Amino acid sequence: MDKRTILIVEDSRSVAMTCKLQLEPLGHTLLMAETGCDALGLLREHPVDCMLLDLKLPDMDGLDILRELRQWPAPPSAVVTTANASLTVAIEAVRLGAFDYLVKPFAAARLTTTVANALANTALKREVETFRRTIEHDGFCDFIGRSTPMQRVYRTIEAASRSSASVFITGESGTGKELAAQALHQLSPRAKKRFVALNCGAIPRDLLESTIFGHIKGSFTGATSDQEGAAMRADGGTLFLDELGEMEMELQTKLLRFIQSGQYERVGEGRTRPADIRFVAATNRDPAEAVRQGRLREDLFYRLYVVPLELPPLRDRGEDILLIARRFLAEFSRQEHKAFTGFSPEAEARLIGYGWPGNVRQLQNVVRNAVVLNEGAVLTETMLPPLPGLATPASAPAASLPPPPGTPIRRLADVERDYIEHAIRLCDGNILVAAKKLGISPSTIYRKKEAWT
Amino acid sequence: MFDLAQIAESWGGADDETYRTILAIFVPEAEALCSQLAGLINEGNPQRLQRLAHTLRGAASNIGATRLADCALALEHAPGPAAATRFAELHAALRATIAMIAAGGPAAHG
Repeated sequence: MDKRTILIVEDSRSVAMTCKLQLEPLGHTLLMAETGCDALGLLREHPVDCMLLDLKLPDMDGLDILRELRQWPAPPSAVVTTANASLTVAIEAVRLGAFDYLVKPFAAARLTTTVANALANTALKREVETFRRTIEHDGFCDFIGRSTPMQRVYRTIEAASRSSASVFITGESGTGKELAAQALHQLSPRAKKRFVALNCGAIPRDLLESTIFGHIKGSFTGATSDQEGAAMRADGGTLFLDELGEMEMELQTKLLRFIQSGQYERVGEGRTRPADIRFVAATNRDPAEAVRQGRLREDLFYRLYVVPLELPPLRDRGEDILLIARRFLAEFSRQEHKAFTGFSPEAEARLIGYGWPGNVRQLQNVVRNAVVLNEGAVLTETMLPPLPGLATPASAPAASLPPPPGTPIRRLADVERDYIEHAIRLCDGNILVAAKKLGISPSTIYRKKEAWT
Repeated sequence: MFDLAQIAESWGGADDETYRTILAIFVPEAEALCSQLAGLINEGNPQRLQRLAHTLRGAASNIGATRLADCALALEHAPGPAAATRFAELHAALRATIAMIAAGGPAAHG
């Protein structure tokens, strides 16, 4: 069995130590809390797999902790310990989701067996939960897809979501890095607090610092009022920093200090403020390369690279392409009041066979384009917009070459018609694109087409 | 003073090494709880008194100190005016228990 984390919540030091010494030989990580408040703090900060919970705590009733845990996604299994051999309390605890209960004093063997069962129960519950999420929705959180590489992604997200450890996401543009960060937040005990996403590459450099930390009135030209930053809004929640490599080195230093100390200063303010934040960072290029090139501070990188999460490109996700395309087709048809119910087999073959350099975002745009510009129940291959890179130069039109000598002279109108039709075919039936490439207006093509029929 | 049968069942015996480690942790813990209980009797804070008596009961029963555990249970359920008497009994039981632990623990007396 992997190394698991067990939390012992017990206000008597000698009883807590008894449990600790008896559980230590199992080789797991043991955490101790004397009060309910400490216990909830540790549960938020650590990926706890099993909790040994005394029902009478100095600051709260153990049942209140069980009530709180019931609101959490994938909570640890709780084994309740009580000095009262009172069945009603034990039944209430089990009703609130406790896995089992032990009446004090309990024998070492009874404790270790019960905890081992509780750990197995947690593992099973979580595996089932990941599986259920994936099967029921053909995806996980807002991700669509059930391919093997994505199952790995889902498992990592599920496991990492329970702790506050920083997660570093890598993946090509359009693979869903922000979706992954949101899923980490949604599944975490922080879900009720805010998820704040910042794209470091999209915010002007001189504004990024005040966007993250906030500023006070008059701290720089244009700072006409006090402004709270992302740090304050994400307090208790999750801060997602996309395109981290685009951040200036000086600001990276400030960010590192913030992550290490949990304290930050608004721009222009002389005092520090605390913030409890879970950090998720992302780059679409190799972060180690960014470190080598001196664009990303090495210490910041290692501070954030606690749990690495790599998102696979769409071309490696097989049938997921169709699951995602069908979902987008249904969504955009509804939004645009169209009647599309599916793709033709040829259209699906084209989608599956394409390399999708822009990943899910590109697929989304392709489907939206086809839905907006076409009508019908079935979205056919000719309705799909051209997919860049597919029309290879090798198949360049022969029509662009001068005809060989001796060829009979044809009517200019016929040559023009052949060539326009050829261009439309090359653009997969998309007249707008064909017109643009031919350097004429689409209405010219429509007019000519009418004359040809 | 100690329930040897329970100690045998929970710990495998009073000479168990872990058991002896826990006894050493128990003594200062119980003394601290006892002096806090004395303060609460004077203050007249029945709710906190009940909580702390409960904690002491758990710690005492954990090491098989039955008489002390029984006294703590009695204090836990004592109505206001009776608390002082129950506390005096508990204090005496604690002194006796600690004396026995100091003299080698239940193993030496078994």
